[in-house]
Amino acid sequence: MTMVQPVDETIEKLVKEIRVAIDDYNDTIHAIIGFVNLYLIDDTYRQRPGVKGFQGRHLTPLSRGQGSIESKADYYVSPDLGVVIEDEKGILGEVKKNFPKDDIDRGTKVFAQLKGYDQALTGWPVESKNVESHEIVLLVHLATSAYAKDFYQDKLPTTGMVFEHPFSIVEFGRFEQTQEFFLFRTVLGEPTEVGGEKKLRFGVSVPMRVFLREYAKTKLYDAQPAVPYLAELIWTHIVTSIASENPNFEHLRKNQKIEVTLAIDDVVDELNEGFSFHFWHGRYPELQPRIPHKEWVREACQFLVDCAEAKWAEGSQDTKLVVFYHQRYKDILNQFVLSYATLEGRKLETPMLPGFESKGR
Amino acid sequence: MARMDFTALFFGASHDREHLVKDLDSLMRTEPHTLSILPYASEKSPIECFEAYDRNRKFSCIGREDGVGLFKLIFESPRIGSEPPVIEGKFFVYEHPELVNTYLVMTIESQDFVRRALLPFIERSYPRILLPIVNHQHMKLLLYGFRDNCGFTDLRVVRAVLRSRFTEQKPRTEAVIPSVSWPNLGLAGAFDFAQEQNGWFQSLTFEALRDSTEHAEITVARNGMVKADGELLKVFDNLVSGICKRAHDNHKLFRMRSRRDNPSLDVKPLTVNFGREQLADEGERDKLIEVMRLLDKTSLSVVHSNPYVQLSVIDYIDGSTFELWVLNPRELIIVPQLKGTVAGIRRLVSHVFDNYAEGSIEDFQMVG
Repeated sequence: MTMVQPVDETIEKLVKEIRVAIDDYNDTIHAIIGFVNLYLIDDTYRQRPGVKGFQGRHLTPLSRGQGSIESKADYYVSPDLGVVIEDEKGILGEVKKNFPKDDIDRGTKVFAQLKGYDQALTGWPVESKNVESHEIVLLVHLATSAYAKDFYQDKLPTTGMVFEHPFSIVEFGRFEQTQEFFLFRTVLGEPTEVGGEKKLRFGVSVPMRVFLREYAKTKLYDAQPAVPYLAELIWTHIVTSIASENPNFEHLRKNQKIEVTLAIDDVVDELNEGFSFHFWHGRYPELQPRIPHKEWVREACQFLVDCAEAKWAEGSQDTKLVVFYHQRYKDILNQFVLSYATLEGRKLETPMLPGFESKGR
Repeated sequence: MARMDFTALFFGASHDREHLVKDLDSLMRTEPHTLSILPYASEKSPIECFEAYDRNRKFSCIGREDGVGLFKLIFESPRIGSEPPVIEGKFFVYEHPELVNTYLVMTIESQDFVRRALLPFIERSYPRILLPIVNHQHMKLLLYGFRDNCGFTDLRVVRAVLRSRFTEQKPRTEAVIPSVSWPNLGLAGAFDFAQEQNGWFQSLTFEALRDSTEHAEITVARNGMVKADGELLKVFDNLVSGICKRAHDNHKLFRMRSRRDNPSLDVKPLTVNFGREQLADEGERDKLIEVMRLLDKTSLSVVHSNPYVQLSVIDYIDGSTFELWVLNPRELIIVPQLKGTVAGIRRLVSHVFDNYAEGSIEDFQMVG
């Protein structure tokens, strides 16, 4: 028989986990913005005309080997970040904030994903959809970058996995020195740099405020965020905006509510246009997925329903949500994190009959 | 012989923008009055600003000239007490001839009318109007400028309403209570005293002295209100004009900051530049977060708190949403999100100035 943790402890633990997940999610977005901007802007922070950046784009193999996973018609890869220099040279990257230590399976999985980028791909944001050559970069937080390097050098050869395209590992991290900086430094290989300078070898640090405009409008990338984080974005930026058009908004008492009806598709569109990397994809939007995915939004909405903040509109089959907007919460993100942890904590506490186990998070 | 009622004559005559201030000055030289002046900025006309429904206050326009409107306000007090149940009075709204979207409300009615009827009526026009923030440094500069430009030998402070910001030594319950004093200090002494208290003047009343003779008693308040019982033309040119300029500049700086105001949905941040390393340690950043939590009618979500600060704010008055960022010790960055109104920005900035620290408000530049 296993010991069951008290509910409060379970919830507290879940709250911490969700908070860490939110931090990691934001750090990943900041790393994508920072790294791609090493190419997009020059030393004086001016836009370079011949460079494009992208995030989450669907690229497909130029040739599909028979019987392999790539042979499926709907197979594609979607790197965390991509850069095209002068329509010729491509860089594809993946951000793994925490590279697993002493976990061969998970480490291998990371490299297997990168291996998907190690082939001729089409769908690049250029007229021809193809580039002459490309390389691969793994971005890892400096706390775990040494594990990633060791894994590549010592363990990867034992799996038989070899990269044919140039491959490098770049570590990233924040540091404080009169102001907040984001640092990028090569730990393995030699990533291409515009102008041919090898600055990344010694570390490139950029003040975070340089990217403030991007940070402030980029809250989502093509990985599902923690449910309470997405719920807070929906509540703050979409539901509040609609509710504020109601003449009662300004004088709403603590126990009063305004009903706000949302269509899931509209929520996806608004978040995609206002809070994803949409602004990078102006000229070549065709292979960019809409972020957030509808399923993520639906899950965040279901959470609002589960904690009695909303209900599904009758007969809408989960496509329209009625939110009971109120002004009771002084810290919405904190409240949603706590509510979500409480709901999940209770699920973990509820004894299940065999075959009826909770799916968990 | 019946005494001539100059006030009735004054209101019986018409006053255009060119002559209103001079006419008021003449009246005040003839009969004792205190003129209350409140500058504000708005994109709406005075009627659009003030006509909003107010159960206890009836508002009507009784005269209009080019750039000047005369209005009547009747306030019926819902409370039964010793104060008169009905109070009424007239006020002018003067459109500034040079500064667009800038207006002045002016009245010679009693302070009871100003306090109970007019000021609450104007404040209810939020978020349609923007009242200036005469911060501590600005007030100091204005008063020294007034003294020097007008040839006064001293401005003797006779009444000060001081508010202190909370510190570790001063809990916030104690700090938010304003203290009233009659210090009889010169300007330098009064401002030094406020600095020692880590505070600011909600209002400052002083006598303008020239060779020991009092020429006028004047009050300047943090919300931009100026009251004067004399020297009106000097007050207008040297105090009110500076406050109008501040209202105008802030309005210009705060407007069109919503992401929805531009088709690309780009952000247009502002910074509060403290001019010193105000947020150098974790304790200060925690204090800032604690102070921001005190802002009434808002939700404040802490997305990140250390070492950099990222807060998400909802204004429950008009639905504006903002992000606040601290990325270096010298500045607080305010990012209006999809909807960020002038009034919402003003409320945030004013709260920071009142409860945390003052600084200058600037357009955000990528390289700071």
